[in-house]
Amino acid sequence: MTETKYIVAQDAGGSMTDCFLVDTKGNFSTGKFITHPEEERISYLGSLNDAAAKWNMDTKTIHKSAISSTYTGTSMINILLTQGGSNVGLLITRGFAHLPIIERGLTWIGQTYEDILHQQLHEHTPWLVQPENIKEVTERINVGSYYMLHHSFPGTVIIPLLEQDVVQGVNELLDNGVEIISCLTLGSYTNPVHENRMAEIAKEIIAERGLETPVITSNEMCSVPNETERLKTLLIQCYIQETARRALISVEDAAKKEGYAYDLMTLLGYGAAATVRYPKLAEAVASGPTGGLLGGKFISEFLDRPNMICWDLGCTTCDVGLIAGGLLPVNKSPEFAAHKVRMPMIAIDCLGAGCSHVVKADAASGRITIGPESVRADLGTMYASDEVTIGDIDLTLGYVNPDYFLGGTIQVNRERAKEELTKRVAEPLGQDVYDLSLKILDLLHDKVVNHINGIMLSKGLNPAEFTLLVHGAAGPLHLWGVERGIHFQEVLVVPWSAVFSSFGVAAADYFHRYDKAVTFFLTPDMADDVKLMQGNVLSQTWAELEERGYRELEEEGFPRDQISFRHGISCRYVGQLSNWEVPVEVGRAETLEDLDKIIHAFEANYTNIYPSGARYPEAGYQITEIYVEAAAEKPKPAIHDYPLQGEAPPEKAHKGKREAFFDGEWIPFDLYEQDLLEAGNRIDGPAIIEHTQTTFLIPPQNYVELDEYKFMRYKRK
Amino acid sequence: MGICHHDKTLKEIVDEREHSFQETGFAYGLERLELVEEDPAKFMRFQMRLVASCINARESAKLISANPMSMIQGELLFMLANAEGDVISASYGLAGHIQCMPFIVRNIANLGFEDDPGIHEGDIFSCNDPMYGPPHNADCYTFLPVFYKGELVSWTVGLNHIVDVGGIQPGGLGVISPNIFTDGFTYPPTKTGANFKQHKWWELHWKRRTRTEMFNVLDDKMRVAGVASLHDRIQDIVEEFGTEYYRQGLKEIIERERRILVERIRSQAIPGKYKYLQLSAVNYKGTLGKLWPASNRNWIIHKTGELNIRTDGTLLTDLEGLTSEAEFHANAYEPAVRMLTSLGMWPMFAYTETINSSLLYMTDWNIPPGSMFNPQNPYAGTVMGLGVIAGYIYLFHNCLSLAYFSRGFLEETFPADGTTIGYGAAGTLEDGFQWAGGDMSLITCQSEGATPYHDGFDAAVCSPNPAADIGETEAVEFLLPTQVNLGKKLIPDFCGHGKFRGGLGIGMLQLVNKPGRSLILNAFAATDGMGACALGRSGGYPGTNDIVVFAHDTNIRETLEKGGTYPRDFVEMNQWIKEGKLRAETVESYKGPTPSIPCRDGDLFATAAGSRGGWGDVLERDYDLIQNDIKYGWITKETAETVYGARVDEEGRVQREASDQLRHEMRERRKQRSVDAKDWWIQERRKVLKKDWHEDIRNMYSDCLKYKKFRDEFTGMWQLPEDYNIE
Repeated sequence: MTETKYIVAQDAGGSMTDCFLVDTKGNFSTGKFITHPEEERISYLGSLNDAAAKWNMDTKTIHKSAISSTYTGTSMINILLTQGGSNVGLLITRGFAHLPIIERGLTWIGQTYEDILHQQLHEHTPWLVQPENIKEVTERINVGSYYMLHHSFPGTVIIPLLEQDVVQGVNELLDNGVEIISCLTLGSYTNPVHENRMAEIAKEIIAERGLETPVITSNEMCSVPNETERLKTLLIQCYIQETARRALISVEDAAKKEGYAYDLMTLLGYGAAATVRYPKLAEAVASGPTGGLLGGKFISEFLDRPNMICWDLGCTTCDVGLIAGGLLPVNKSPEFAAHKVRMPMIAIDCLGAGCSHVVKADAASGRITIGPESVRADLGTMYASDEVTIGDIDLTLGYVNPDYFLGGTIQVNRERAKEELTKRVAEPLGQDVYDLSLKILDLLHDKVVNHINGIMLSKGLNPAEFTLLVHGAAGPLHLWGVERGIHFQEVLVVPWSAVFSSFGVAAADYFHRYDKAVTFFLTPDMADDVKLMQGNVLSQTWAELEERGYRELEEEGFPRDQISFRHGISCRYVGQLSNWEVPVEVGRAETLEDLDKIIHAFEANYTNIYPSGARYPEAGYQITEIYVEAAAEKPKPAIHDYPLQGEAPPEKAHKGKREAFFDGEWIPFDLYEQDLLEAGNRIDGPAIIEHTQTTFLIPPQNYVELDEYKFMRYKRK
Repeated sequence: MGICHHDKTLKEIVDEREHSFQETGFAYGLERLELVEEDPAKFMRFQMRLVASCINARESAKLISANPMSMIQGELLFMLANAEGDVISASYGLAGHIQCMPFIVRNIANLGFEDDPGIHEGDIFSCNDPMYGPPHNADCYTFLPVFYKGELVSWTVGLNHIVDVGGIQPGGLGVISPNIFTDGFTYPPTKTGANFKQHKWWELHWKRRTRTEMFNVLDDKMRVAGVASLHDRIQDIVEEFGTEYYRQGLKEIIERERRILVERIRSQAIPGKYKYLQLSAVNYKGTLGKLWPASNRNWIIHKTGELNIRTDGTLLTDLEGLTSEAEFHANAYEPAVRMLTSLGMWPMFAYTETINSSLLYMTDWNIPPGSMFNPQNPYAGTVMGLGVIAGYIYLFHNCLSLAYFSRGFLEETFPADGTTIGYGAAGTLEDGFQWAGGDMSLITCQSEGATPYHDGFDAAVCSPNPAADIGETEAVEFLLPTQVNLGKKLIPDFCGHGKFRGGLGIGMLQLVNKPGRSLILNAFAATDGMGACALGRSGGYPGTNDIVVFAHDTNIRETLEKGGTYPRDFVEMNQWIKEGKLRAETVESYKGPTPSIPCRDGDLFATAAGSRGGWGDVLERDYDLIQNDIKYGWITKETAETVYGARVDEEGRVQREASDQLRHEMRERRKQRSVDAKDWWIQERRKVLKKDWHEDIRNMYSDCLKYKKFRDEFTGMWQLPEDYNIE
């Protein structure tokens, strides 16, 4: 009999670190532990211990037989929030030293509409580089133009690099004691010659002075247009990389001390796993919410459901992500902690409406607001907060069991929640507390519904062709409200939905992604040989990126024959400023036919989203960027199946009844213990399925069926 | 039989809207908000649904655009109006436009569009003619009627600022245009499409009447895509909530929001009359030759205003004394005034979860007929009246700041003034290819003025758009091939100084690169070179002017070839020219709008958006703040000493004792310079009696004295004889 192997995956959130532990047969256990941002190895081991203990095992035993451990931490965001990053130096095109201070004027990122309008309260983010550590270098490179061949070609040197500026700047930065040097020139995505030469000179001087200061250029990080976003990405990388890597390696050390034999992996924002030694570690900075969507992707492939909406509702999160045609859409300029960066990140929308979000009423105007403030782990007046929250409403309405909160480890106070809710929300509006509570939940649900509709609309998709996958500690509790607002093809809750994000971390693919700006125009009057010449350049660029993928993955220990590639383009009609990213079948454009296929892929995607009147083929096409994903094999969790039992749930699973206020009346709900339900069971509403980490509410009009994987399929009667 | 509820005509319901408010003081006569009272949560849900629809329409449609002003700089808005024309909710974007739609609907109702050309499901209407509602012809409106079971229930509206309007100057912000015929492509309300699709002929107009056809065609497609998708969403919402609820709900939103705004003013401001004045110049003399004799002159624009904060929380703005209409580009109509000035109201009191036209129900205006914002000549040029109206945005910032400050709301005081600069470019490249474009980077992001308790933030706000965004140089250069940026930066010392200083002004410097056969640049600058710069507060210094400098036929190319470097802003450029480090055959400087200036390869073009005022006495500025400013290069040592009275040593440290002494001396000098107010009044009165002014100023007073209110105040202030007049 072969030895059992384990996969460990952890998702460290702001308050809790979730662990998903799975063996090679598909048995799984889950764990939770309070996050220790200052010493993440403590919460790593704590969370793993919680999961292992359920199998009567310890962390050492698991680590000795673990074939992979993936950890997404909070260290990166903490470095930004506590301003604890490296002392960064910047070499930049002369005349642009204030770029990092001006930061495009985007002082309102992540704010509500009301706050955006209230301009006097807008502020910049703290500096990632101090003004005295910014040195200017004489040079300019032309970015090319919309008018193509009528004017200068992209990448033309207009002002040569003045090397003495670089020498002086580097020496001054080193005198100032910077820990890392970053380089950015305008237009480097069209021609990196100046940026690379700056880095070369800097490295020579660093070597001469016997130092080991790292040097990074913007074209290494993201060779794409828009200097402010490129600079932000570069600076975040420089600011956090050393500190963040130290934190991750300390987690790895803790695992290795217990016998874990491989590199620790972490998750990148575009959904890939990579070792903690990956050079562009900044790409992990915004990976927080991606775990859930990767879990969704795994389930979508496992069940062959290529269209899926993943909705995560937790204490402080309310995230919506989309999988369409088996693809995860990528956002190339995501916003993160009030920064706008230029790195690919799986498109996830954060709605700011979790269960710990504060509910307020204004008697004068009759207005009700949910959030944006959240009391986080204090939960609400039911526990340790003085603010009324959505969680208080759930408890007041009888949906949540006050004696079984987190499996009974936390005692919450239903009486206080009801009193405060009445006093502070219902009475000022002259409304009945229970009626009003239901309507506030409607508001929350509607926010999600509006958002999902918005995503669908902007991409030309139909919800009736989509599966809704619900997760997060509070997802199953509020599923009913969202499902009433949108008719999906099917609705699904997995048994481990409360730690689904950490499951997603375990399910991540191992790959690197490389983006590169290109100059490629295809106009109706263009001669074939010009088209083909440009096609060749595309092919070459793809080949270069593949080579980089081979090189980096080989360094990480994968032989060439285990590496595969995926290709894609960002394309638009000539003149447009936005791009639409689409995958292409082959990463080569050697014949006119190849080119037609590539353009067709863009057109098919565009007409899916917009009415045909918005097409503009007369203007021609422009490919602005291409990408390559270089992928390698990595162990992934398996999903267990169970023999189907009868529709009737076992007696022991039935825990009794509880009155809950629903649709305007008090109704007795049947209570079940989730872990005791069996595959094949059918639970008819009104029912509440309880679990130590979550609660699932089934209205009288609905029922749930457990399939052979114990996935709960939520249906209308 | 009309197309509206109860078979009323559009004109009937618009009349009812106006009458009911006049009679009751409540929007739509709604003394009670029944839907809100009965079920506030449902009502919130309804309102959120409407807002989400508008935001979604914008976020998906904007991607179609080619226009950086829409895409990056936010000059794009989608909104929902009720059948009567009140805007109920809007997307992110240039919020002020919600003020215009009620005027457009009022106008098409008066014009009888219901009968001819007819208003049907799927019809597309377009308008950019300021006489009918849009603020100027660069702001193009596209709107669709929304019908439900045969009843007109709403309008969905999209608009954006296009790159070029086809006027006599390139771009959309022309500063020379004697009348409507030189403004460019101006179309009154027009039915331009049916079945949710524009007619073919409409695209031809963009191609033949404007310079940047490709941008303009894509923008039109974008607006149609947005309003069509919003239309469908709205029909779903009517279906879900029912026509009665929908119709009544939209009206209650307006009345409820009106009450919120009135309450904010009542609770934060001290009521009273608050005065405001800006001056600016329009210089046409010698520009247009003999073609338009009435335009062969200069004007000083007298932008006077009085904000009356009434005890009931409503506002009356009185513009009596404003310069009369004239044959220039700067006339405007009431919707434009309301649209642009509302930008001063959003941050001060009108910030809410949704923007809507409830402002119309609490803000009254007196704009005298015959003044430049109420022109009686139907052919008045209006292409850039907004440039003058912009001054009135700051009437609200500054008067309300004073009213809030007086009541102790320091966080809400937001002194601001126009510090924006943009330019248009057009040319013919070497191979004969013609192109045009513009750059609004310094219009869409500004530094903030000082507040009573901190320095103004740099590059942090934007007057015309709540979501400031200076854009990306690489994206702008891609569209303006001849403009190579050598600097986009904060300019040291370039701010209003004070105990707390304003944020630093932002400047750009560009090298003209291979313009080919011809290139002209024309800039527009809000401070207008004189009385429009930001005032300081409580003893703080005023802000700085907007600056435009052209250095022609320079030796910059040679310098760079020899391994030299380049200047980065206008201060450095002027300094280098003065020192002989840079040679320029001619230098042209403007502190306001420029005519069209031809440029050649190797010319340098510098612009700088001025900065806003300081707060408090400079001599009270904390030495630590001064030391920080020196450390970061925000102010020079010279300024530290001459302005702030702080002596700074070689290491950049403030010498405290020496500085205390210097400040003492400076205070003594102030005392010596001061003049008794009575003496000052006597001296000034002599000038007024002698009418001893520059021709342009004499013309200004001569014009303003035609208005009784101004005349009474002026003759009262200077105790002038009753028959005082200026010919």
